[in-house]
Amino acid sequence: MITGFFSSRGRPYIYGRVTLPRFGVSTDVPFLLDTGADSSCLHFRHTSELVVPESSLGNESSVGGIGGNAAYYREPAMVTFAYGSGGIDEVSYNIDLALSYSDATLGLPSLLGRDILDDWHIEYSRKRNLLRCMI
Amino acid sequence: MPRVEFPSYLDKEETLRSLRRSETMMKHYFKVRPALLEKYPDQWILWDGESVIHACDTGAEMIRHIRENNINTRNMEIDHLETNPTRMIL
Repeated sequence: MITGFFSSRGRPYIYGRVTLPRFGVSTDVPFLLDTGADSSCLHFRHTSELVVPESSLGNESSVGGIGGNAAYYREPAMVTFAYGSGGIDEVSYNIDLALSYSDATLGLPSLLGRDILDDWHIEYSRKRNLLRCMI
Repeated sequence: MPRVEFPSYLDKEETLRSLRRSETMMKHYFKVRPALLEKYPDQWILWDGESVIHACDTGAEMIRHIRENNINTRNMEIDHLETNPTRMIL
């Protein structure tokens, strides 16, 4: 089981470690669970931590959201989550992660989309402060 | 689904320790956030786990400060302490 938590504004989060194998860099990311997102993405706050120059990324694509379209780079990534009681084991996924380097996304959380969520059975109860994901 | 084995070139124990540490720190931040909201209303803040090391009015100013001072923001929180939150995520 992967255990998540709710922010002070009640948003559901799960921590994952993102690794970009092509660059050998990793960072921990509090992902907002978003069943409306087709794929997972990192916004400026976390892409800046990976210290990968934007010029070394390719595969630019336009991603549409409620607020309009924005440019993202798609990069092969591994996302690892702590699994089991006390987080003593791991579960990892290889996905094409969308990366935004736009300053305008500074205040936006990074999103965990259905490319990973579809592998989970999720128990969600804000009232009980319960967020658990089973594989 | 694209689930994979954890690669041997990475340190699994360190990865799990880091994830636990990050989550603990964020939960701690949620506890101190109400006090920070009172002290820095409507400001952007950079919090290093113990105290606010920079506060300013806009996100652009915050990014400039981080870049100019070459600050590594890992294990820090950057937050906009809105007293009347209007920005919703859809």
